Amino acid sequence: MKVIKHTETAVIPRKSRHISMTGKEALWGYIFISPWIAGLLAFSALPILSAIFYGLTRYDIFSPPVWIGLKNYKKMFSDDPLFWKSLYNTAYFVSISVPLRLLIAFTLAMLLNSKIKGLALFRSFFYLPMVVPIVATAILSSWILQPRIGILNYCLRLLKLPAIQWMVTEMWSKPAIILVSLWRIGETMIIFLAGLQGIPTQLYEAADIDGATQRSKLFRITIPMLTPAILFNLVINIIHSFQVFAFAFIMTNGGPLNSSLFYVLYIYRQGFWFFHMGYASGLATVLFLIILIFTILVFRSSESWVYYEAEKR
Amino acid sequence: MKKFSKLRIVFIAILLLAIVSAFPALAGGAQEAKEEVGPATISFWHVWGGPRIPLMEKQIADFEAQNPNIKVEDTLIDQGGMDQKYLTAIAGGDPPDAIMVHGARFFPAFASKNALVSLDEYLKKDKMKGEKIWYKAEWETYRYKGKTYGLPLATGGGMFLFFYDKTDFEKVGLDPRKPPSTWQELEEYAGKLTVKKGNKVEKMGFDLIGTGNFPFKEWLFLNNGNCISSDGKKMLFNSKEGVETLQWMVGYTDRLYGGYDNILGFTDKTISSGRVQRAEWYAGNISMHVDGVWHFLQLKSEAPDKKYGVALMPYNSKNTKAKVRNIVEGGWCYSIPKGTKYPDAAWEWLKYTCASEGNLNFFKSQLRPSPVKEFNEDPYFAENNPFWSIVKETLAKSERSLASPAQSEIDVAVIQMTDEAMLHKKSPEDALKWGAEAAQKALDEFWAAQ
Repeated sequence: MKVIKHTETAVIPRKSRHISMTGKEALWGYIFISPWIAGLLAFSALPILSAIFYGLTRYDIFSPPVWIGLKNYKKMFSDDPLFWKSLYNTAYFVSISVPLRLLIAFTLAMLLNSKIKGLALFRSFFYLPMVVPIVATAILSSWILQPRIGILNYCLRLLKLPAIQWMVTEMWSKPAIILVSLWRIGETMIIFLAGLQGIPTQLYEAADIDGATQRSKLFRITIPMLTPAILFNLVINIIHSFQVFAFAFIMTNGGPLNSSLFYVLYIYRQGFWFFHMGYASGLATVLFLIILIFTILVFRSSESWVYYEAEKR
Repeated sequence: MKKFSKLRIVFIAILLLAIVSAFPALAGGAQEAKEEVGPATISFWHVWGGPRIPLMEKQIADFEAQNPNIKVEDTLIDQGGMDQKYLTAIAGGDPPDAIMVHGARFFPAFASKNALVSLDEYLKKDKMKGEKIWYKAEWETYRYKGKTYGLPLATGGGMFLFFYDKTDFEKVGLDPRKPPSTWQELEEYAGKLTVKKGNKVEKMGFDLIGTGNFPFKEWLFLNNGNCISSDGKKMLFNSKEGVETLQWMVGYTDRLYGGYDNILGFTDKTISSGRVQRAEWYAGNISMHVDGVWHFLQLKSEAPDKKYGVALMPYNSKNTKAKVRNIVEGGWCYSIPKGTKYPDAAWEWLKYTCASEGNLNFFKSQLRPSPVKEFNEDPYFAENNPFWSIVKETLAKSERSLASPAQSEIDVAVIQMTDEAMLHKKSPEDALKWGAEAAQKALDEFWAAQ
């Protein structure tokens, strides 16, 4: 007690007081993030490490895992056509869905950033699909897309357009799922919207005085100022798109002829249907590496296209 | 320095606290262990959702009234997520006291991995003779290597009733009292009932892909074929019967509808297990439809005006050995997982729900048959269901096909093989060869790992 009192009273100089303030702040900081750290360690770090371990074993849940070295990986790369097929399907999904999502979310955010009547209403309207559980969305959309009795094809027929064999042919299974996944775009949109609102208005005012067109304002102010938000959304959407699961699980269950068998669905199949937990863990580890590589690439490239205002100061 | 270490201690303490609080099971487990002296409370997982919820509540209330020492806490499991739930509960070492197990999807895996309590001692103690109580196909489904690991709860053989629209029959001049009994008649009738506009199918006589979950295996049984050897080591469907069956399926679809691509919308099975087909059948766009014993209640509430008849499944009359023979790979059973606290209390619950009046009442209120043979003689059923004799005959003509622990993998191969043949990606012979090889490989891998 005495000692503490001594330090508190005796050390008056400003500098050390400053240090003790940061110490206190750090303490509170740790306190506030400790539930998250505990969660991260117990529910993310531990499973990731055990997945890497189980990937080197043969494990069916009921009996203890048997060490088999790299056999799972050997099988994956040399003797499992579905591994490649699911990888291809996922790459297809990611390469179409990510740009499409960013573009649509950005456009919506731009529209919702304008000053019109009933803006709050529009904003909640476009975010609303995020509130609906993904399973409900999937089941509902599979009725909407049903080729014969679905309402979407009914509308297409009314417009004298050819009806589309959504979900039931190899050609249309992936596009159907991409289309439905666009429904849940709210999060990406909100982040763009927040980014748009963070752009200082004086920039636009200055541009107006100089007589800039809408187009050049978009490309010279809005988009450059928004690049940090674009980077964030790009990374998050890449990660989420590689993990696409629920829509395919419910709407097509990977079919027809494995045309919508996405990577995570394949992991699920191997693990929970076939009881090949070891193999599934190996697959998961590979996906982890793929996502890691993509994330690193995006971050590396970001140095050349993302503009942080704070850095320049 | 001192201050820093204090900080650290506080931080670590909080971290630990957070970790511990993240595992409520740890705290809860210690308390539960004390309850063992008192009356048993058993936890029970099942999938009887929807209109069956009140029936389950009643069943539990009746059981508790008879067994005042035992309380049943039931949990409704969604069928979609049940794979994960069961596996994690068992792997985590804290399974519920009684579970509802699917005969094909889980039973073989659970039984072969020693995850279930063998019930033979209990059966002996209570002088119950399984083969006398339940239909043979049902009873055998829940035995593995001579031991019993589950009591049949619902009928696996009740999946194949042949429903047909009497009004449609009359419209095209067919006798509504004479449903097709063979594949050949089926094709003839379906041809008359089908309506096409150019190449577009407006109305289907009968869709043979829309039956059950694995149409190929079902038709194979009706052509006297088999899927797997009785020891579970060899796949048998790439046989003369298998080739005939797949050839017929492809030929039928081509002849009647101009190819499988033309009817994909009808056969869409992606939405909640066959609901699309059912909607088409209600709407009168399909004239003949295969469905399970639960379909009577659905017709009553969802299409009350439909004039329908029910028949046995048609078989291949060109094969002299073929007859009505319905494949049973698994219905549902109730089992006791290993490592539970109250296996004895759970047994009482199993007995009540699978072999006593609990079972009878549960199925009476659903107007669907019980796997207990004598219960189906209850006059209530025949009085309330004009097709009851067909239902009983269908159950009696069911035959078990062994579901192996590699079942899901085999089924994935069977589905792919059927699709490839139907879409003319492969000839029926090549598709079968590929499917049988893939299934055999999965089977061999399973046995090699034992």
